[in-house]
Amino acid sequence: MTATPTILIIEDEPPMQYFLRSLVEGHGMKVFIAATAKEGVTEAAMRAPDVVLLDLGLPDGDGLEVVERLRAWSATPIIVISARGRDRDKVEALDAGADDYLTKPFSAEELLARVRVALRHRALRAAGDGPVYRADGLTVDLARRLVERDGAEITLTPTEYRILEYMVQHAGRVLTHTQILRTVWGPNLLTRTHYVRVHVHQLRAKVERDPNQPRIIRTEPGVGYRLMEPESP
Amino acid sequence: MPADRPDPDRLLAAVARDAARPAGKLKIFLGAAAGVGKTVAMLDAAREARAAGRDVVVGIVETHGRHETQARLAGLEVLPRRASERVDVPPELDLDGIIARRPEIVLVDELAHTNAPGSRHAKRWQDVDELLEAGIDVWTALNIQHLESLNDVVARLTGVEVHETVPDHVFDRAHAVEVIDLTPQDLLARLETGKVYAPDQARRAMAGFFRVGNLIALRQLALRRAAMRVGEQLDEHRDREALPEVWAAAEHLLVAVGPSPHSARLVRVASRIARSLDVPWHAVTIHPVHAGTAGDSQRALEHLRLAEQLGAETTSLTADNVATALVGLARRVNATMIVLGAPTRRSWRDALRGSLIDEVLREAADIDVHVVPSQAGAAQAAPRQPMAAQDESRGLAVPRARDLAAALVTASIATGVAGAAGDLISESDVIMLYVAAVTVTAFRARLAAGLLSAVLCSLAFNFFFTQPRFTLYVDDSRYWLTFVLLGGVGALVSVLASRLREHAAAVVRREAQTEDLFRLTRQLSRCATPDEVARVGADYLHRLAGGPTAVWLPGEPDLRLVASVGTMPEDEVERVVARWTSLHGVSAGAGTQTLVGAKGQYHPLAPPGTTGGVVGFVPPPAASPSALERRHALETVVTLLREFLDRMRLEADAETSRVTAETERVRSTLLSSVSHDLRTPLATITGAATTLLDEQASLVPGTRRELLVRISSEAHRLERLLDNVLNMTRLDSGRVDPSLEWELPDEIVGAAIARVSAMGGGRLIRTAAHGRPVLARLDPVLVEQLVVNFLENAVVHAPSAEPIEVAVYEDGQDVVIEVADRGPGVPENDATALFEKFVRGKASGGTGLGLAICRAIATVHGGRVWARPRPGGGAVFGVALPKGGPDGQRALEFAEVLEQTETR
Repeated sequence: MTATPTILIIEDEPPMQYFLRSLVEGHGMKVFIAATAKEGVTEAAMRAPDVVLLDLGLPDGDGLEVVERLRAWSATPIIVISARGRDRDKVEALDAGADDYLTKPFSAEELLARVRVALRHRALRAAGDGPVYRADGLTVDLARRLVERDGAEITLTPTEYRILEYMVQHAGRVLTHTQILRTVWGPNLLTRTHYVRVHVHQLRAKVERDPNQPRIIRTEPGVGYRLMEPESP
Repeated sequence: MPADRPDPDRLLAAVARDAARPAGKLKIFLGAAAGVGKTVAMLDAAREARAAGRDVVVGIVETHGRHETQARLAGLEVLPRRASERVDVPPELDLDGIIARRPEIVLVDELAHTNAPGSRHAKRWQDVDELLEAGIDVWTALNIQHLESLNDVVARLTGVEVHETVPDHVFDRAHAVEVIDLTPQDLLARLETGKVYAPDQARRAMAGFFRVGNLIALRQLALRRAAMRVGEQLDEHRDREALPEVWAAAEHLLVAVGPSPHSARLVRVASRIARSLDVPWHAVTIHPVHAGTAGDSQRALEHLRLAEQLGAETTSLTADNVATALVGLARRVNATMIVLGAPTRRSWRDALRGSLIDEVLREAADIDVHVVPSQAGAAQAAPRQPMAAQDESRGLAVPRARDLAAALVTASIATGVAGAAGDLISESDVIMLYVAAVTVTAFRARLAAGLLSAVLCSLAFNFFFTQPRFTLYVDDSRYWLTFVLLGGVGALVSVLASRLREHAAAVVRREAQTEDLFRLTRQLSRCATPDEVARVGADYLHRLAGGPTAVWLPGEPDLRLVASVGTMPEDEVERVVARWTSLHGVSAGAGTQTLVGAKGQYHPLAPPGTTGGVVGFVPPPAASPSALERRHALETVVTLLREFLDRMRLEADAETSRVTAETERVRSTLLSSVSHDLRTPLATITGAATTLLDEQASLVPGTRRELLVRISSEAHRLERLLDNVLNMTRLDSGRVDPSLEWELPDEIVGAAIARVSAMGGGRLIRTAAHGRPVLARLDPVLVEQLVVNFLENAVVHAPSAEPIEVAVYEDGQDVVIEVADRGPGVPENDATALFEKFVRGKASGGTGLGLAICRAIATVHGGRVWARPRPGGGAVFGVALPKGGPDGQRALEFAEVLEQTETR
């Protein structure tokens, strides 16, 4: 990781380009801009950015295709930006390997939060296993396979633990039902997304303070789940 | 049959009706829809009759709480109704009471009514039947949509299915039908002023059934059906009075065409006359039983086809006396004028018996006969057919072995019998035996066999019974006459017999075709889609043509084969011809005049000038004597198919334009309604942004930030408005295809609460305790939107100190989500109006679309929404969604799934 993170923005509309550039540069990062899908892939190869922001509604091609082409050779985090009402597009992009998404219109805050999570994951991947996860009174120590709520140990079923483990490894990022299903149950049952819902429901009952108003495991309707970002130690 | 006698079948029908007719007479007050004033008109008539001293009583009259009806009951004797033993069953017509009372006339309202269970008859019209049978006159009221035969038409026109129907024979039996006519505008006005329904019902009725379009259509149906009834009565009257004279009520023109090229001109002349007189016309070709060739048939058929194109109805008949058949048909179709062509040449038969024109003139005493002179030179165009071709059909060709055998056998039997009888019988008896033999042979077999038998019998008689015996020598010249007469008898009998046979065969064929056509029409009228029509048509044509048949309908990009029976020849030529037919709307292929190189014959299924479907079949060989009839039948079927498809297309067009108009209306209301709502946040954003841009403005510290917060929050509001508008248009247009997943409604409610807490500024919302978790098949994004809209609605309306409670629970096959607030509440009985588009609450700054979207989303899921007052103040908004989704799959159990999917 370089001292100043570099961000590649693949976006065709000048006002959005301007907004994204000023925001990201204002937070001390270096920005490259590509206006087309083709240019975006070339720039990604040349600049080796730390994070890619990709608008799915590009004029010259399918954003999904860009995700697939980048993923063929790069593990750089990709955050896709989709228009409201195009839920299927973003879920497809996530399943194809994008790391997170934003729905237009979004606020500066949301964008920065996503970029922060992406950069942190990149750093974690470089450093090996992360430290212990802590959020809202919950502690998950993956090395010791230990889960605690307010200091008391919680017993999870193997499925619940595997789901939580996967979420902790990707804390702050959205995980689609399909991704969780593939990780926990393997690649043969990818349409049975309700398995995930049932077990997440059980998991919440154990880890959340108020399972009716979950804070740690947030639902993103039609997409999947997002584990709360860990509190900084 | 002599033309001056009425058709016996029709007479019989009239007699049967008379015998069955009860002494009572039925009078029907017919209306296009409820509320046109049938009951009022009936009661007015009753009061008049009573004033005239007639014994009128009211059997049953429904006032529906209408004052104008109630007032008219005064002064009339109202018979008590028959109360049921059961409390929950409404009282019905007291049949026995009325029969015992024996009034002259009884009023029985609402003929289509279904009686309460336990009544004597299931339907009220059966009660009426019994009253009529008992000799009591019945006056009743009926709406046109209740007539059985119009049931499907009404359903298709108005989209409302009527279940209570009255069979047509009841209607047809009516002695008098009085149409109570009211323009749709007047009727709607009556509805609005609450004269038909109580006011709250009226609004619903107007939205559903009482649309102007529906009312116009129903009114037209009522008037048309009544007019038809009058026409039938006229026919009936004529039959009963056995009046052979033609009634000139509706003029009609009949033109007789034949194979002569002159006929084409004749058809055009007839068409011009018909048009100038503005009367319908009819073209007929009469195919003589014992003459004519395939070529003749073909040409005659072409002339009929021409007539059809010019707007005539067409018929082809087989008859042995052309004049009689022509005049008979003229009487059947009520023709007031017959158009004939002058003969192109006079034959010896004309000199002997008078020409066809003379015969027609003689028989058609009271029908005008119009003779169109031929044009010089036209006659040459008709080549005489070689004799052999004509003779073939009559069996005069070379005798076949079967004829010879038949002749030999009968001659031998006659000889044997005569020989065995020996001297017991006289010579004249022997001759009679031979005559019998010749007659039998001629009757059973063809003409050749008859003649052969005559020759054989003459020879046998000569050989065995004339002096000198056992020689062919005749010494008495008187016997020569015997031989000649025997031959004559044989020829005559066989000619007569073969005519009779052909005639009978023609009648049977015709009857079968009529029957078949009738069945086809019925089948076609049951079809709901063009594809079904195509399938029924292909099947039928296959049976008729006896060969492969296929129907194509327009598709993308080319014709689409919809139905085929057998294997149609398929190569480039056939495809081109079919496509040509579709494009040009003209028949083509084998047996037509266009693109004759094809093996199949193709007919268009849409009017010329429009690209439509095509029907194709391999035509039957033209040589058989019934070819003309068969071809005519084929064309009739094609025409029928075309008409059915046309009607469907028109209906579909009407439906599309109705939907388009409705969508257009919603869209324009939507636009006008939201443009205001969109401008308010835009104005704030523009104002705040320009203030910030203004370098001269000296802003108090903090104002800068405040303005930016405003811009941000108004932009957010704008986004929500736009979301609502877009959602509504998408849901309204029916383009929403929910992506259904097995979801936990609990989880979706949780997400919705999270979203609204962020928007609503930390308002406390808590989820009420509930039972076990539920799985339901639904679209998570749509249902989240629904719950968010409920919550926002509650946040806006309820006082900020009070909690808003959300509950999720199972209710039978449904999962229910309820949002309860402590706001101003909702009306007790009619909260459904809240879910209408553009209905806004007092406190809301919204578009009035939020709850309408909720209802639309529930509908997409096969569920429903409601709003009810909450005990202790406030309102509860709820939605029930079927757990298995809109297609009702078996619901999954949470616990079961949990257990089965635990990994090790």
